This record gives sequence, C-alpha cells and structure tokens, in this order.
Amino acid sequence: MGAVITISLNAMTLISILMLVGLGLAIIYGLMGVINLSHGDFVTIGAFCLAIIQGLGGSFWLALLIAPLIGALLGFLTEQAIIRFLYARPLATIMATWGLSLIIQQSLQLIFGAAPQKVFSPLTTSINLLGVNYPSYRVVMVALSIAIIVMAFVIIRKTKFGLDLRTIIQDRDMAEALGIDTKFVYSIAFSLGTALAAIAGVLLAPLTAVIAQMGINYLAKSFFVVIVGGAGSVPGVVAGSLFVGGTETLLNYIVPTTLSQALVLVFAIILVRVRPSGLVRT
Amino acid sequence: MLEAREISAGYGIVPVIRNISLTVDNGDILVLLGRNGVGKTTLLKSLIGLLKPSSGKILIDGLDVTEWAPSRIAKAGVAYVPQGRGIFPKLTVEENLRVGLRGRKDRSSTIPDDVLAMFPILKERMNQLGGTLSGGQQQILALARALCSDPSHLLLDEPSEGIQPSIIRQISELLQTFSHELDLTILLVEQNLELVRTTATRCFVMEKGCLSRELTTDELEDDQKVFEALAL
Ligand SMILES: Nc1ncnc2c1ncn2[C@@H]1O[C@H](COP(=O)(O)OP(=O)(O)OP(=O)(O)O)[C@@H](O)[C@H]1O
Ligand SMILES: [Mg+2]
Repeated sequence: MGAVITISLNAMTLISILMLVGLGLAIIYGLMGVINLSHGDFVTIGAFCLAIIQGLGGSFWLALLIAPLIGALLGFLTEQAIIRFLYARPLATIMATWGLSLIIQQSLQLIFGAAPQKVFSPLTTSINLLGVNYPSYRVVMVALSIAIIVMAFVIIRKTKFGLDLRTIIQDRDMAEALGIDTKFVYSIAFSLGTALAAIAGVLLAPLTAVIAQMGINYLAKSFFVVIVGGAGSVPGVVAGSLFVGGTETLLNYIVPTTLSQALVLVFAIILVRVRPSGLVRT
Repeated sequence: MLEAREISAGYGIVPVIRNISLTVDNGDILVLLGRNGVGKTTLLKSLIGLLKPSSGKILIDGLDVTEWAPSRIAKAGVAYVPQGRGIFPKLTVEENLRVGLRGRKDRSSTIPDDVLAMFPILKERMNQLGGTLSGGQQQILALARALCSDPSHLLLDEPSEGIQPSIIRQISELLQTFSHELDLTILLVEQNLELVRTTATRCFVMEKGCLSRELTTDELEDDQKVFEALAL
C-alpha cells in the first residue's frame, strides 16, 4: 500500500511538470503550428532564474514570480525577432528554434560554467500522506501545477483572450477578417507558453541538477505529451501528461531509466497509431 | 463607399484578377455575377485585406486601406461573410457572435439586442456548437455575426450556395432590411438569379479576372440577356 502511494506521488511530480511544459508547447503548436525546439530551454531559463535569485539572497517564491516574467519577455522577443517571420515555413522554424536552443545552452554554459547551479528547496519538511512520509515541497509543487493548469483552462474557456485563441486555432483568416489582431494574439500566446515553461523550470529546479542542458530531457517528453494528448487543448495536455508521466514513473520501478524512456516512446507510437488525433479529440 | 482602383491580385506570380476598378456607393447593393473560377472570391479577399493586391489601391470612404491588416479593415467598418460561411464549428452560436464583436469600434462586449431580435432561430440555440447547425442556420449565423461588428459595409460571397429556397428568400429579405434600415453598403457575389433580382441595385458581370460589363436592373429581368452576358 505504502509503495503504491509513493509511486503515485512520484508519478504526480513528473506529471505536473510535464503538464506545465506541455501546455506551453501545445499552445504554441496548436495555435501557430510552430514546432518550438527551444521550448525546453525556457525551462532551463526558469531554473537558472531561481539559482540567480537565490544566489542574490532572494526567496524561492520571489523567483516563482519573476521567472515567468523573464520567460515571457524572452519569449516575446524570440517571437518578434525570429518566429514571426517564419510562420508559413515549418522547416525553417524548426531549424531556427533548434539554433536558438543551442545558443541559449551554450551561452548559459559560458556564463555559469558546466557545474550544476546551487538551488534550495523552500520547504525541507515532509508530511504524512495516507501513512507515507513524503517531502512537503513535492506536494506543494503538484498542487501549484494543478492550480496553474486549472487557471489556464479557465482563461482559455472563459476570457476574451481565450476566445480569441480558440477562434484563431480554428480559422486564422476568418478570425482576422472579423477584427482579431492575430499577430498580436500570436506574440502574447508565445510569451504565455514560454512563461509556463519558466515556471516549470523554477518548480523543477530543487529536484534536479540545474545545468545548461537540463531542458532537452523535458522537451522530448513534453513533445510526447502533446502528440499523445492531442494538440491545442488543456484536457489533451492533462491526458498526455498522465500517460507519459505515469508510464515512465511506473516503468522506472521495473526497468532501468534508459529503457523505461525508450518504452514510453514505443507506447506513444503505438497509441498514436491507434488514435491518430490523440487521447482527447478536440 | 468602397472603392477598388485598378487592383490586381492572385496567389502566385500570375494574377487572378487584373486591373479591376469598382465603386460601391453608399446605399447600393452591388451584385457581382460570374461563372465559377473567374476570380470573384479573389476580389472579395483582396478588398478585405486577406490577399494583398500586387498593384492598385483600395479605399473605404476615401481612406486608403490597401496596406492595412484585415483586422484593421474590419474595425474600419467592413464586415465579411465568406463563401462556405466561415462559422467556427467548435464555438457555440453565442461565441461565434461574440467573435463578431471584435470588429466594433466601440469595443463593446455585449451582443446587441437588435441583432438577436432579428434572428430568433439563433436565440434559441445560443449554446449549440456552430458545427452542429444546418447549412441554412449557419448562413443566418454568419449574417448575424457580421452585424455584431456594427459595420457600414457588408461583403457577401455566395450566401445562397447550398441553401434551400425558403432560406434564400429569407436572406433576400434580410439583405433588403440591412440596406434600407441599417444603411449598409453591400457588395454581393451571387449566382442565384432570384436572389440577385430581388436585391440588386446595380450589377456587374465578371469574366476571367476582369469586369466585362454592367447589367441594368431591367436587363437582369431578362433571362436571355443574363445568359448572354455570362456567356452560358
Ligand atoms: N488559394 C489558392 N491558391 C491558388 N489558386 C487559387 C486559390 N484560390 C483560388 N485560386 C484560383 O484562382 C482562380 C479564381 O478563384 P476564385 O475562388 O476567386 O473564383 P470564384 O469566382 O470565386 O469561383 P466560384 O464561383 O467557384 O467560387 C481559380 O482559377 C482558382 O483555381
Ligand atoms: Mg468563390
């Protein structure tokens, strides 16, 4: 019983990070058709923000507020300087964002070195959940991620901006012809996606080694999330994260990590064969 | 007043429409007749900014809007009902109408009561998804959505396409109401002669990317003249 609860909680940790990274990716891909290979590096940027802010004496919670702002700002600049010129050219976007990814990784490594950055968890206690002692920080992290996902869902379903997003996903030309400034919505949506990645980076940092290449791992996994779940909807991202995060955590208890990651890929491919539009049809 | 001055536009190197000049005066319901593929949709898309003309100018009430984004042209008072209706299938009827508000100058976010009053069948289905409406209902929704932006100009691309006669008659009545009571200046691309005859104040025939001739309302009544003009 205790083991089941621990595994579930571990799975929830991974799932919640995947939800945040995957949601940003899904918005950017679902809306603009942009395959953003630098998305994982915005996770890294978030984690480095935490390291810098804590290094300057700031708190974890301060970093949790500032990192998304920096992520959004850098995302906005990326969209304005690169992405917006490449919308009609998917291959060029892939190349450009891949290049950007390398630039971000190399710059971080040049400036901060190859050694892992020091970050501190804001909570070092553990709490008792159904008879199992579990780190409080992880529980808080899961709760925060769920709160953010619910908020994103409400924004997309209930606000004016959310309606603009859903409209453009369905028919960009018609949306534009009705008076929606689609270029503006694109740049805001892109920034929102990178802000979510940066939040994920902060939340993830205390649990992993904060190095310049840490984003790669999450980029690949969150692509599975989007492909498996179906692009362009919050429920799709949640379903995809549950599938990818759940399977990988479970397999990790049975087989070595590298094998479990490969198996997740195999399962993802099978699932997409069976349900090409993803777990959640939009 | 909507004016095209010698515009050419197309999708690749070869222009589909060439040097078209056209003025839709205030109060007119100007109809464009033409066979399939002559470039009617291409012309409308150029007028609302979705397709940038390779040469020529587009003016709304004398203002040059040639370089404007479609969203800005929409806010300048030009509403568009595209061929195929352009309903967002996964948005509810109400959300489709809300999106129509984006073209308003006053940035109001409530669907005007008089629009709803004009379309009772929509009022009953506000929470139904756009994609589940019948073709005729979608066309009505597209018209209502266009009105939500409180436009001064309305461009329609074959609103009768695939729609049963009773709804076509309803569309005809609506267009006349739009023109007479809402003072809309209307440009209508249409192939259904009944709809053309009951609404047109002026009529031009389009042929292979150019306007070939004007038909008077009297000539429109004469099947022979119309078929001749269309080279059918
Ligand atoms: N997106 C496009 N890309 C390339 N060519 C196009 C495109 N859309 C239309 N065309 C071509 O431009 C020409 C004019 O098309 P257009 O749709 O303007 O005609 P239309 O008069 O509206 O016809 P219909 O009565 O069938 O709607 C056609 O030869 C068509 O094949
Ligand atoms: Mg057409």
